[in-house]
Amino acid sequence: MTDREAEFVEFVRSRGPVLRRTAFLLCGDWHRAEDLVQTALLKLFRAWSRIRATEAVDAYARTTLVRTVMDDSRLLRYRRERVSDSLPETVVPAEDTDATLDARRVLAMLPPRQRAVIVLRYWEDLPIDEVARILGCSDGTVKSQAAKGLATLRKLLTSRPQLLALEALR
Amino acid sequence: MTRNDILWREPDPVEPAEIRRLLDDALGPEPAMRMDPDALLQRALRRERRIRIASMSGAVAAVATVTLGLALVTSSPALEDGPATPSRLVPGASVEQEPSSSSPPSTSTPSPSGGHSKHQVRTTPHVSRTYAVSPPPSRDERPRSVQRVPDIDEQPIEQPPMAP
Repeated sequence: MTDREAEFVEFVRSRGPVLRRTAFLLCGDWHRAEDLVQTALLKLFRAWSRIRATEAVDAYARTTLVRTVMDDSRLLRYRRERVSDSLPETVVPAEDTDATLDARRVLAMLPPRQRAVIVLRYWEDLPIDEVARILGCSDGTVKSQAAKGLATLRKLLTSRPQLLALEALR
Repeated sequence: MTRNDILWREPDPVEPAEIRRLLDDALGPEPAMRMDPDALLQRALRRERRIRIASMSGAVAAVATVTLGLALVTSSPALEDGPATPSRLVPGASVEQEPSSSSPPSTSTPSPSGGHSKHQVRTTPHVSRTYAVSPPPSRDERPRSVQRVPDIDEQPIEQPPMAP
């Protein structure tokens, strides 16, 4: 195993769970989050030598992951339903609380870009310019998307019956 | 009423810590990770090898295409020396035709008016027979005679008399 490969394996071991959490907050599905993290890491490996020299592996991995999730969310509408002869695995334990379910539902109702801004800004604690760089937009767009996302969250969480009705419609 | 209801009922701007707590709630209990770093590395290596082969194949195909194209262009008959035959010309191009020098002047009896008279009838090139009709004879010379002017490479063929 070369140095590059050893470093890559070590990075996957140490940062894989963190990236998967971010991917889950962006997409809302643990299975899909893991697939997206693997896709992003495969892309990362191709550029490993280049980004290792600049010591920006973490930022590069995060950027790749967010863009992979955004691309996938654009394609998802074409393959949302799949025919299968097996029941899906139950990965989330049954002890989900109301707070967890509510939080997931309201996050799922946010548009992908607003959701990405909220996650990157408040979960990853990234500054506005870094979020703008990752999403490929201006600082002003990040601010407006964050404000809209927060307003949507507030509205959804203060009207729970309507929230459940909306969820049933989806 | 859950904790989130309390958090978001207030009209004031929310604190980042509160949003973070909401996102933490959304995560919930985390399932075990199925991703195997070694398997992922093997997948990455295979993918890299496939991409390298594909790019090399593309480069080879591009070089082969350019070489073939150059070979076709340089060996094009339009660029060769020599006169262009009609088969090489572009359809619709005008061709200046020179008068045929292979056929010698006719040795047949010229008509009295000299050269081709207005009574001379020329058929299509495929038939390639020229008939010279003598001028109107006098009444005692009937029936009219038709003189045929054969080509040089043509055997004389007896022709039926033409209608007056």
